[in-house]
Amino acid sequence: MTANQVAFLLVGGLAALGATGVVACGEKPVRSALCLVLNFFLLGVLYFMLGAELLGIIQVMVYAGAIMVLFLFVVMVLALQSQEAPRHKERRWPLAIVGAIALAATVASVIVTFDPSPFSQPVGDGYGKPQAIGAYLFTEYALPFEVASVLLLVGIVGSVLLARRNA
Amino acid sequence: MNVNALIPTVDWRALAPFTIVVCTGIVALIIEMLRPRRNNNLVVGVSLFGLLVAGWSLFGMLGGPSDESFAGMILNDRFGQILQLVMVGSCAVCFLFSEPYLREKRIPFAEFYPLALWSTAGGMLMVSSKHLLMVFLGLELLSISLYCLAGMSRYESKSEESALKYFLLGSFASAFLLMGIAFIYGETASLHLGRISEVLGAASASPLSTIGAAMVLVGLGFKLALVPFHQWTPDVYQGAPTNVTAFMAAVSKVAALGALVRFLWAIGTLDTVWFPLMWWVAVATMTVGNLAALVQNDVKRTLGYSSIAHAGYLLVGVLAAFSAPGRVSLDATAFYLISYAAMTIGAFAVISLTASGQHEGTRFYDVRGLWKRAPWAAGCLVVFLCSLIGIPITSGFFGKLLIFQAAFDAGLPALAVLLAVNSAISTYYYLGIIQAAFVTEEGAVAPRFGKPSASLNLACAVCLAGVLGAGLFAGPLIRGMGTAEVGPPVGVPVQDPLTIHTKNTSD
Amino acid sequence: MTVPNEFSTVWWIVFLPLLGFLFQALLGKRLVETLGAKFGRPAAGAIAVAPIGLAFLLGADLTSKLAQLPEHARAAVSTLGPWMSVQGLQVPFELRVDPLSMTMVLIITGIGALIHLYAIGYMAQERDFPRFFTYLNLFVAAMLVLVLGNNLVLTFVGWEGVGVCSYLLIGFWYRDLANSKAANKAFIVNRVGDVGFALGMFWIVHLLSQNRETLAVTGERWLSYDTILAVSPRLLEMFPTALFWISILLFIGAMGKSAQFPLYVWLPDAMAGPTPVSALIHAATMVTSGVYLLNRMSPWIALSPAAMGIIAIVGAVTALVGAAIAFGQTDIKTVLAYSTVSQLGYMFIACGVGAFWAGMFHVITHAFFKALLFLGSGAVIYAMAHQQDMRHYGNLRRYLPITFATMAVGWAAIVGVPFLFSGFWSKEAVLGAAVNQTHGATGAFGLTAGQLAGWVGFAVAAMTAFYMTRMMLLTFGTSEERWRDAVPDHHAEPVHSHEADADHHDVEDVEGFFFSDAEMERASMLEVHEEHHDLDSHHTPREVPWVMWVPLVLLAVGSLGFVGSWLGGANHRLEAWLTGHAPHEAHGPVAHNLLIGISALAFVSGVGLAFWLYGKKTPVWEGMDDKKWNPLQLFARRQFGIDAILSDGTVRLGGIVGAVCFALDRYVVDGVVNGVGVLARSLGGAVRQPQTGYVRTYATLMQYGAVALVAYVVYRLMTGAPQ
Repeated sequence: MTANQVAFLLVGGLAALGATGVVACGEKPVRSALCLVLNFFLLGVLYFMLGAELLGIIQVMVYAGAIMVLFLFVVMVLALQSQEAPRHKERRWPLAIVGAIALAATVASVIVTFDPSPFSQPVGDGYGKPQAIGAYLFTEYALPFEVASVLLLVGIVGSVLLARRNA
Repeated sequence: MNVNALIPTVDWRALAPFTIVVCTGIVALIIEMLRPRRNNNLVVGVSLFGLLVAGWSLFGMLGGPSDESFAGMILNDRFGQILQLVMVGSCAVCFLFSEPYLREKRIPFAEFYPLALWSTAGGMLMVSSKHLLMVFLGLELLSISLYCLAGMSRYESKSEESALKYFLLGSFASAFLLMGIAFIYGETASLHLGRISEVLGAASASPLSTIGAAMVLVGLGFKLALVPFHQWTPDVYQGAPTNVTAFMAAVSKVAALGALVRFLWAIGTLDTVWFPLMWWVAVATMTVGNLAALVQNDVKRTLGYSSIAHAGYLLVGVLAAFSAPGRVSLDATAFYLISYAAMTIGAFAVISLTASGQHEGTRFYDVRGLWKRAPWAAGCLVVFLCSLIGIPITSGFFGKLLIFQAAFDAGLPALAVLLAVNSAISTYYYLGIIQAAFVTEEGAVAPRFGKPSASLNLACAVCLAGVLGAGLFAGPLIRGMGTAEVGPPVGVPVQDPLTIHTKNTSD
Repeated sequence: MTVPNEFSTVWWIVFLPLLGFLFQALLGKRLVETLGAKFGRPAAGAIAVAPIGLAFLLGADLTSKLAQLPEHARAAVSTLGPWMSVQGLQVPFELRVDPLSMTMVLIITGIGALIHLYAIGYMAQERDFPRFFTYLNLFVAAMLVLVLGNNLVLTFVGWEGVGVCSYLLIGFWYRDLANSKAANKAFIVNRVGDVGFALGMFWIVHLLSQNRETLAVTGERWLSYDTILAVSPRLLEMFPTALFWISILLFIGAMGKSAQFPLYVWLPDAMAGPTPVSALIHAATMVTSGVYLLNRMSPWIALSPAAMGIIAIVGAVTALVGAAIAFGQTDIKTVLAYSTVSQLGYMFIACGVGAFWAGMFHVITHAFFKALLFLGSGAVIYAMAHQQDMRHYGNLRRYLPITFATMAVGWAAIVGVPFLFSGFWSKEAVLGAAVNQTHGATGAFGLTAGQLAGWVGFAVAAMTAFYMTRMMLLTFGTSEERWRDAVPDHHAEPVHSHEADADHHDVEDVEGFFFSDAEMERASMLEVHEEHHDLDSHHTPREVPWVMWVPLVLLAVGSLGFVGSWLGGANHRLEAWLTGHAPHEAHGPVAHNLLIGISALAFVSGVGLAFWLYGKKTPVWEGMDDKKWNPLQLFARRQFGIDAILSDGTVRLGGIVGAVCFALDRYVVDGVVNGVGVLARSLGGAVRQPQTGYVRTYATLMQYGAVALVAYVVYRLMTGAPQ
């Protein structure tokens, strides 16, 4: 096992743990949000390890930074109103865990024996660099880029629609 | 790095319909902002005009050669054009009866129109791209708009509930879709379906992309409401405002089916793996949808389950086309989609009449005596339901007939028989709706209905013309569509579909 | 096939009723309103009759032209244009002119015109008058498409078209829930048969398209009769099994439409419709379309002895069950409905023994005498203030002489009075062919299935004589006038049921096809209000107006023996006409004269027994008090529970399966976690509540679905590598 693999397992495993924590701490929103921060941050680390620096930086800045701050604001505002979240007797979680493990096991059963070498290929010129990403976004991927902007517009209009009371 | 080399060819003509629909949405939104609390007639008018222009531009391209542009992100072929036309038309018909419905229900949001337009644009992307990134973006554009629209009726908890349910489950499905795409990318290093199909055709066994394919099928199956990913359908159909339900039932299903066909084409070489899988999914979808519909007592829920069953019929058509490429084309499926859109939207349009001054009941007993208040709409409802049952002369009959024949020809007689049996079972609950709309029991309190507006009657007339016209002119329509081929699966020698066709028509 | 121009007028046979339909639908109501009810309704009625009458004349003209052609060339196809052309299959709009289709056309338009005429009188009090004729004209058009279409798809279009019209007409008085339910039942039971039809049809397409070279199929009109019938001999060599199953599937289709056991259950309920509808659709035309289909496909079906045996046995069982149930019925229309079921059984026996032409012969004679009986019963019902229960009749021959005389002719025809009436001839043809069948599937007691069916048929003939005589005696016989001590009964045919929803008067006027209540009210104000009361001691039955008795007389003339002897007597005209070759004298095990003797015996015993039991007065065990009924007859009256088992059973089973499916769908995950309790609870009633399923439950189910999908592809990968 190479050092690279050890590092990946460590970071990836921690990220998965963080994701689990988000759900497991469902009744304590702040903890849950902090777990999410951990997960986002570790994902950023993974991007760095893959040599995608720009993506890693954006991941940390946008998700771990901006979005999480927003989440925490919302959590605090809700907490200020001190509304107890309705507590359901939750008895489905063992079932969900069994399902998750089954899915993971099935996928893993194939992947552990999978030899990626025939499919691996050298990365392109300027891989992961801002210039290259910028060039792609404005040439080959210009259309998806624009469509994503429409998607954001929909998000904004939609949230305004849902947030507006019967005006 | 040489940026100029990366600049893709741009076919503005192929991109025009999508662009027009998106821009119409923006214009509609601006008009809505400038004229707060006025009537929405201008918004509706502009939206309809935009859809008309988009439809016209699509119609102009029909018959032209297929091509790809934007590095394969926009595909311009007949199948995509026809599906886009169906979506544009469906959206327009939904708009026709939306305004009176929204007014009757006191839903003051004219944002419905731009959101529905963008949603349509998303659906159009899904069927006119061979690039998984675009398919995903299109799907999200379609879905996110729909999540918001489903929750548009703010004072009804069932509407909010349906929106939230749809959103959560939809996100869950999207996660599977994205994961599957990632797996496939991991093996083929491409998101372009043509390239993926080449790589998969060359490789011997490809475990990673097989798992990826299964996950993508989960995501698309959710959108198409295939069993076992169908659970959300009746709940969301029931809770969402009826005009949104109609939109959802037609546009979203057409888009998902188009994407599914393109995706299955790309993984055609893996068919020993996915074909039996989808075979069972088709069986389960038809049967569960129909049987569960038998015990419903809400019209919208019943139609929701019925739409699940119809997704199963459509899947039969798709499977037939894939199991006998060259001999059996996607004509039957495309025709069925057209007729399905017309009859479903029509049925929901009539049911939207049960809304009256904030109150809306869609139980069977809430539509009692509908014929009396709205004889034209009720008469149309009978035709739409007859078409859903599959009575001749209506397009529903010919759609089923074509799919039936396709399944038989493709060597899938079991599916054909199940389809026939299921369509016989479905008679029961469709007749239940007809009976409810026409029977008035003695001494019962009459439910209230909205006044049928001219635009609703027009929407019914358009759907009626679609249902009857597609039935009577099935031949010319199918010929006009051309063989709706997406292209032969890789590795299978196939005759040119056009030559097959000219031979048939010259007789 | 070449198209002689002289036959292209066949299209007008279809178009005329269609034009009539359009006129009634678009302008009928306006016409009635403009001219007023008194003149408007007869005018609208006359306009409805005219196209049917013209179509009849056209049909007669074409028939005479056809008869002039040499026997082997009596088939022509007239194509209007292409319709569908998909994946090789071509389905044009094409009509077929040949002896079989023209025979059916003459029955449909001839008897149809008479029944339309009758309906003008019968429905005169009906305010929804144009709507009735709209449906009736549409029905005739659909029925003509059924018999004239030259391919199975067009036949199927007509097949479903008549189904829809029948649905609309049974539920004509739609405001009554019972009628609506009867209409639904008819439609759904028919759909069961339609599945068979559709499957058979596509199997044929499949077979022909896959084996074009070996079967020497020319052209791509795989569903056109000229193609289908031409390949039948080669088909027998190559695909005997497929041939058998296709025959059975088409037969299942025919069973639904022609009310064969066990799919007959819808027909008695269908009597909820107006009586002219019962006469036209549920006796003379639509229910015989199954016989037509078997005749049309006879070159195929005749090649499969096993299928033929099944058809004959099913026909015999139907005849027997129908007759047995008729023993205990008290509703005059229900008796006739079961007798129709029973007679349809005869027609299927004929088809099952290969004497397809005899089946058509019985279709023709039955169309006359059964339409006559139904219209006569309608006249009785009309005279008796819409009371249908025979226990309130008696001695009506004094009051309704014309009705009595004509119905007596119908009775004589159906019970088979030898030589003098048409029914005797066709029944002889059917049963003679059956008991003299020489080759056929093995039945029992050393007889072939066909012979067995034939002997059952003789027993049924005696039973028919009994129950029909019983019906006549209860209605017209004795000197008791039982309605005089009747308690007013509200279960009569609901002519005035549109008053049922009088609480909707606030609904504003809507222009449209249906009458709104306000319009109804206005119409009834303007009308000369006819005295209309329930049955009581002062009721005096009056003879019906001329528009109603003229058709009766004409139909009675058609039921006389000369029709039968001309068609099926020594000259064998009908057999030669339908089969296209001179008939060969059959020499079976049972001599012709002996058969006539047995028939006469059956007739005499049945009629004699009935006169002995019912001649003087109604026996006490058939009075109004159910408790005094003899148990056997009561059992028959309750249809031996067959209907209850089949209909209610199926509906309940469907409900349970649906509920289980729904419950599994909804609770499977909950059920796994929370134990079976939830599942059990959900099955008991809770299912009908609107459910607000938990999103987590759905997500879990999706997750498991995904696991199943992924596990399945992994399994496929592990076991058999693709390619």
